[in-house]
Amino acid sequence: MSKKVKTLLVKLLVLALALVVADLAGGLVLKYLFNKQRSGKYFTTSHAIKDGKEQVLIFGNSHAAQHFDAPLMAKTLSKSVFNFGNQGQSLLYTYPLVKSVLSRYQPELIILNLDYNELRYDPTDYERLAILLPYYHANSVIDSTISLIPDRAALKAKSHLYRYNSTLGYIFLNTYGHSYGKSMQSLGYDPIEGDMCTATASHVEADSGKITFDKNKIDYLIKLISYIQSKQVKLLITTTPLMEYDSNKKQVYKEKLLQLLTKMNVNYLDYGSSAEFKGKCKLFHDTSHLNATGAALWTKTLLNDLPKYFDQF
Amino acid sequence: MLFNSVQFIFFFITVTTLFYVLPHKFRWMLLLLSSCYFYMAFVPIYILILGFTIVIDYFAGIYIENSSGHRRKVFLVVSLIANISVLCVFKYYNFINDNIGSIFPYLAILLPIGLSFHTFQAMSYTIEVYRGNQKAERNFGIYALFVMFYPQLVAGPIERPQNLLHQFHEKHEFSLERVSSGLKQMLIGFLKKLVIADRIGIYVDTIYNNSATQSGQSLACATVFFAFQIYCDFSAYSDIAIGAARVMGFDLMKNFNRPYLATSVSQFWRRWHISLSTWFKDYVYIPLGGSKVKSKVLVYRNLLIVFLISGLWHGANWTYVVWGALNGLLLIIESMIPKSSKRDNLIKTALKTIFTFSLICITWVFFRASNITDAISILGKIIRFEGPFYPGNPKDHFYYACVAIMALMFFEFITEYKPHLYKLLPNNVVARYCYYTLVAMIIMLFGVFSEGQFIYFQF
Repeated sequence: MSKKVKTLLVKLLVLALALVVADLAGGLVLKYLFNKQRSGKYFTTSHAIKDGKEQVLIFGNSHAAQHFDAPLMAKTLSKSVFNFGNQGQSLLYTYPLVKSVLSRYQPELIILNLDYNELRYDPTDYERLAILLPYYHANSVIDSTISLIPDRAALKAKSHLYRYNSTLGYIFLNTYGHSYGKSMQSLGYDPIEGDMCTATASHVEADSGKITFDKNKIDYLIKLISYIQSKQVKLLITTTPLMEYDSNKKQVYKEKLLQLLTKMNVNYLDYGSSAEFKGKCKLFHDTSHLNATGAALWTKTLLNDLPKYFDQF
Repeated sequence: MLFNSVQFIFFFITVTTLFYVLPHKFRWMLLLLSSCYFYMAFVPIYILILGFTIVIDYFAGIYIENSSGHRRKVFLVVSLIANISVLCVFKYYNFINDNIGSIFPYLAILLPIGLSFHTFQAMSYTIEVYRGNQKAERNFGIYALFVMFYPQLVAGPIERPQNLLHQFHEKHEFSLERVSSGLKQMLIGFLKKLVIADRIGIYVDTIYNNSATQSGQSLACATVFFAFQIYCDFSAYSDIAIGAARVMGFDLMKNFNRPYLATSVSQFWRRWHISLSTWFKDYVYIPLGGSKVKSKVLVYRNLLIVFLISGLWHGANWTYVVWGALNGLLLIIESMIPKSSKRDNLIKTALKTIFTFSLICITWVFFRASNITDAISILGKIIRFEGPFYPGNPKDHFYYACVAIMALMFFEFITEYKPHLYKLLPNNVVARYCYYTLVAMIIMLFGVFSEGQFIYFQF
């Protein structure tokens, strides 16, 4: 081997070592900053994985986060409540979160909010699992969920820095620019303002393409329900109100979901096409998201219905 | 195979190591085989198209050299027709058919990746042999490698045979300086692609894919962002290509030279996609007479022809044709304005740079929009500049993109106008390692790792 090649190899080795050290050190600094967040999607996720101890827990996507007024529920039920719902997430995200919580303690009630098309295959649901990257190695369920993220994310997550990829701005915003939504103060609840009557906000639910069921989601839902039942924790599955319900495709997904829930013998509270909410623009921020007023009304409706399912509520 | 994939990292390390381990006489074989593998990682069957043009041009080169008089021209024309026909069939068939009333059946053809790049490179070979500037290559393998050399196979730089062919015959000794300089250029390429281009692309796609519902302010911002996205995306590819080739001792031509610091459209075209601009200049503009024609009108005609072809080269869509025509018109208008011999002061230079950039951005609208109607509607909205401004959801991508663009322009400005400032930075071993580590950390922290394709692959 020539001297020049040896020099290059030594240089590359030194550079590789420098990179490993920088990766470890940078990862440690970021982990410290990450854990200082006081609000946001990572704050609620960390709370579920690390230290949440509430009695009533809510899981799901934005419809959970923005519709379940957790402070109102806590006050009415005189129980500790936390809303772990997160925007854009699916059962693929909820499953490891619930498993992480139940591996630490036994809550009294879990409310799992599901959309009618919850079992639909959507590749972006897998990309959005990147939210779990900072928790790589937190437990085996998180790790196996991370392995579902496309583009070899699990391999890239070996880098401590990569786990915090694209999070730095978010970390600073939620550490120093603390917001009410998704914080300890709001108990994870993330209210939204504005109504559809003034038409300042718009949101169109993506519901295009052919009907494809996601086998992983079906599998996760079955496992999730069985696991909650085996831990003897009360479970209520809900579907929150929609401004309008007119999709034929959604019906196919809904039937499959109902079939599964019936088979699993779980309590299901379906307000997806409730006349109480349907078409009432003052209650909605967009066609599928209730605003704070709508969320308060829905939460009260839920609280009224709870005793029908569980005596002590 | 994409440069920004994990697969490429392993491919590059393996090929480079084998390249230096093997004796010189076997190196071209290694490069040819690895280039075939690189190309076949996209759509394997399309290597046959490449093989077809390689065979035609290889023999055309020899026949041109061995013939005299009229026969030389015949062989050149045969070669050019073969290359242009391949382009017409695989790139323009459906476009032409659509525009003549769909009289032929629609063909579901997937465009072979980088077709326009390697076809133009192959054409430059036969033209240069015809002109007597290049000897015909007798080794079929080496000629094939000239067309297929993996670093620049799918997105250039479009090389001239005089610059590249002889390098495959030469023995490249291992040079620490070249390897390290090549790796540095590759690192810069990865930084541009992963941290800037792909990050900006998220916002641009959000806005442009829903242009009908977006405001003028958002569209204006997305257009400026697109200007930087396409620059960083394409120049990143060139950086990685030039760097990867340099690691093995090959010199490829420079393809970009800080285009957005140009103070005129003509200067922009001397800084943007240099290998294509010079190709058109050498093989279209000058043969048409260039600027040495009888009247100004003929110069304008030549400019317009070149840019219309350049537009079509980019894609089989009227948006590209209009984009090319607009650039041609801007150059014509610019050439009508008398030039001042006085040197511009700083403010005048800044104003000229901003004005040129704005004009280029207007042309990019046609490049990015799906069709002419959309492009006109987008331009209308941008001119009215109505709100509200949409920063995207989540807003992070927008803020990251702003910081990335500012950082890019800061370094480009320093390199262009104050290069001596770099000398103030420490340049010892520790400092250099710190820079590399910092760049790697920035890539890991802010890079978009979705292995997104390079924009110019589609051309």
